[in-house]
Amino acid sequence: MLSDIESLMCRIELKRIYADGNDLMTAEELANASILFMDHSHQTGDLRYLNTALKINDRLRNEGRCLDRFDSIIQGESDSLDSLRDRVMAKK
Amino acid sequence: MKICLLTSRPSAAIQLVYYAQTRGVRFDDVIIVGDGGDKFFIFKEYAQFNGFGLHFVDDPNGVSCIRLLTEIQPDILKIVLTEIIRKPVLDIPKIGTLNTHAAILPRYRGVDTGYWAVLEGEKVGVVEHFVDEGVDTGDIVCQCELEIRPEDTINDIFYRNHYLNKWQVATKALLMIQNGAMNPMPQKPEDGRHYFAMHSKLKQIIKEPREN
Repeated sequence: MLSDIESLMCRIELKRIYADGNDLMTAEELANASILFMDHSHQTGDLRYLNTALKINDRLRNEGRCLDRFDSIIQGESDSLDSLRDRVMAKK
Repeated sequence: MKICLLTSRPSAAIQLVYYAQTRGVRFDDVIIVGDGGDKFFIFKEYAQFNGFGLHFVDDPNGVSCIRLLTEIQPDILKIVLTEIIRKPVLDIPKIGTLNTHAAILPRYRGVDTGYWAVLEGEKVGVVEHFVDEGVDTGDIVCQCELEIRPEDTINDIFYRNHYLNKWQVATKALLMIQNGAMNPMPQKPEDGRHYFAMHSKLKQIIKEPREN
């Protein structure tokens, strides 16, 4: 049984809602999902959520949507990637 | 035992046909998803020389492929495909349909699973499993883990997993079935995770420490 957040992640991936022009979710909903996924990935270490967030962020970036929240989304993305890079380097 | 290979990746599949043959496994028929044009000349020559049936279809789930497989009546259908095979095809082989998955199951189901295993610092390997209607959820026939060396680049890992594991595991599974020594292990859905295509920024993070 999938959790609500996993179901949302799978829906966005399977229906390619992160792809430019897909109108199954609004830009506002996608921005919320991205922030939720980055936070969930940080808390649980499940990188699948960060992966989907990165795809959503690409779309928001390409389409110039949610500009009022975009700085915080990009900061979240940058922090998540830096933290992951440190973890991977530490393992190596 | 009649073994049929269905592939949309003939350049990869010919490696399997050759390797399996050197280990005593013979494919009776090979079905290629393609138009049968000149670019398939290597497979055509190989089929002529080795005496297996070579067929071409336009869609692995299409009517012509189903009709052909029904005529062939394979015991085992081995697939090397990029497409997902649907139930009407899966229902045809008497024993089942086999797929080679380039990551450890049940942990890593889905796409880019080799990358995901490396990113998460887990074991890399190859699994031969029966195909059911789920994605990488069928019974496991056999598997092989790859030993990763500290100096390995990501390309080293994938290269060795492909050339030292992939067709070896597929052939081992076919030999086990051929020799009546198969003991498939069911997967529990809750044991694994489904992974999707990895974003290029995550792939880059995997490459960085192994390239520096």
